[in-house]
Amino acid sequence: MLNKKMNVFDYLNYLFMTLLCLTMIYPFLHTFSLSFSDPIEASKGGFMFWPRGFQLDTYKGLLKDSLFWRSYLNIVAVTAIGVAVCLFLTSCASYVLSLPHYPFRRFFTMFIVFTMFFSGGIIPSYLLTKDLHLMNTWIPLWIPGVIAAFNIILLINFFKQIPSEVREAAVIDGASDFAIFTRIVLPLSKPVLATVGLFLAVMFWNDWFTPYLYLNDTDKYTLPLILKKYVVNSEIDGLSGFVKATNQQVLPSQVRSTVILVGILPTLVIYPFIQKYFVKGVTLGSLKG
Amino acid sequence: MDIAKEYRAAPKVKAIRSKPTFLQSLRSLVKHWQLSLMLLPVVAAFLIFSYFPLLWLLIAFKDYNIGKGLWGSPWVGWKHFHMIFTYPDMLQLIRNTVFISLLNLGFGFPAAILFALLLNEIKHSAFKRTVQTLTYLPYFIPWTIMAGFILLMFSIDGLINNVLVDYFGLDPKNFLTNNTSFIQLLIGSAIWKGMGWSSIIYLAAIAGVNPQLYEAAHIDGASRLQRIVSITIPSIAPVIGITFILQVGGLMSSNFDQIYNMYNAQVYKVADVIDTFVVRMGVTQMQYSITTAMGLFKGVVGFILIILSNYIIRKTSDSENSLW
Repeated sequence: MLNKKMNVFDYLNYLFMTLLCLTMIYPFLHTFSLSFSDPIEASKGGFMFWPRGFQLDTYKGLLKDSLFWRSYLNIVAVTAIGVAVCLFLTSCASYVLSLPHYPFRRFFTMFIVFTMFFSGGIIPSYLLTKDLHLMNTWIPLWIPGVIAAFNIILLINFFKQIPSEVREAAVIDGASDFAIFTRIVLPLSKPVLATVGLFLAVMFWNDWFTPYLYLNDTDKYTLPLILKKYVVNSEIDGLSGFVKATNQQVLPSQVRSTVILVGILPTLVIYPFIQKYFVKGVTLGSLKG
Repeated sequence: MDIAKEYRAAPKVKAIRSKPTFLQSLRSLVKHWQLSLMLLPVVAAFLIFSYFPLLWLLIAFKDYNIGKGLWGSPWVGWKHFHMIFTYPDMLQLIRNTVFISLLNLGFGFPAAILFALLLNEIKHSAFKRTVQTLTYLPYFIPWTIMAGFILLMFSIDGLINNVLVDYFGLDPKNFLTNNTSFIQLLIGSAIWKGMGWSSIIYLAAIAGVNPQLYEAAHIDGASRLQRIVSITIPSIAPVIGITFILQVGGLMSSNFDQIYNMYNAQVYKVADVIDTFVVRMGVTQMQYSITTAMGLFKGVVGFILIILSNYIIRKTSDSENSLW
């Protein structure tokens, strides 16, 4: 900005940032290399920058694992349905709460904001879900998306910026409230809807705890449950059968690496393209300043 | 938060427009029936899944029995609260929870601010963008995977031990079962994962600072450090204040997902926090009443902390720095 000349501080700063980035990349690189390496080479340990030798047994084993693929399909379904429904309901409510003439608007907003600061905790929600017979369904997985106070506030803040003249003109043309919302407001809000949609997608995709609490039928399992089972508890169960199906020679850490890599591949591929939306969302959604 | 600002501004608006009576408001609720219908599902979801569970808090004062249900179970007053406060492990749970949160507050909170300040000093935009992209990435990787990375790096046959043994000739050390190193890993990995992401809000605030301030300071001969201390930091103080309040409010809830995925029975003494204990005892061992009492205690303390820290910040500095 002001002085373009680099001094000692700048060099140290660049060095620090470079090292920091290396620590961010390395775990991924290590995992990648370990999963493809030859087991004998891999067992020598040390830093893994490139695969040493080559094997695909772990990948072939995972390919045959029907539980893994089932959970993969499930998480895609949970995320897609969840995002569509939650995004629609959340934006409907946020739009209404952004209208200055809507009665009890302040009450409803407080009603939502309060939940950000106080909740009954895990056990009451768990017991309620049980009493409502929603155990072993995907519904509890989606509910936190519909009632995410942060997203609602983000959307309210955005909708408030739409000039009221747009709405008034449509009212004069005889459009109903719902028509105004779907035909005028929603098309105007595509970027912010994409942002909130992505927030929701990340939430559903990575959520491990809710399915852990509410799902016990393996047919309904989502990917994070399997990841937890294979990656974190690998020595206990999960992997043993899968390792046998592949190759006795393969190291447990290689199987773990393969599962990690296949599990987060979609995130890694999509991430660079969507990152900017999130940044916009964080800036827009929170805080007054 | 914009909403908070609006509430403060509200009385002026009211003075101009006469306030509709309750009955008029109800009537207009019906008049705008399409809007009401659009709002309904979300309000219903909040009512059922956020407010209705509050009813189950009653079981903290009852001996909950699944067969008898919420209303049929007998009242026992403060019994469970007496139990948790005389329970020897409870003190340790609270201590662990608060200690881990304080460490996160003491290291993680300034780390994000410092990172934002340093990143802001980077002038090459391509390099800056690369750093941002890479440092935000871990935020999108769930803790289940993170725990996997940590196992690959820090377990007894992991990378760090390989290096220690092969290059330094040291004995392998199990970082994950040692009390001290586990806490260090917990805090370190939380910073590693969240620092980049938490810095976004500060970077946005820094970007909003009037550049003329910097130019004026430059002409006055202010050094870079002076500019940071007397322009940048005061300018982002409101954002720092609000994030701080929210963090203090979470003092009783340590990062559940992280700990539950990373810990093991050997480190329960330092790593078991209220949330993890509640899930272990409540969900897997069906000790519903006592864990609800613990959750209620935690929630009330968290709520009080938020109100208190907001009050203190509002009293000691500009109201812009507080949440409401």
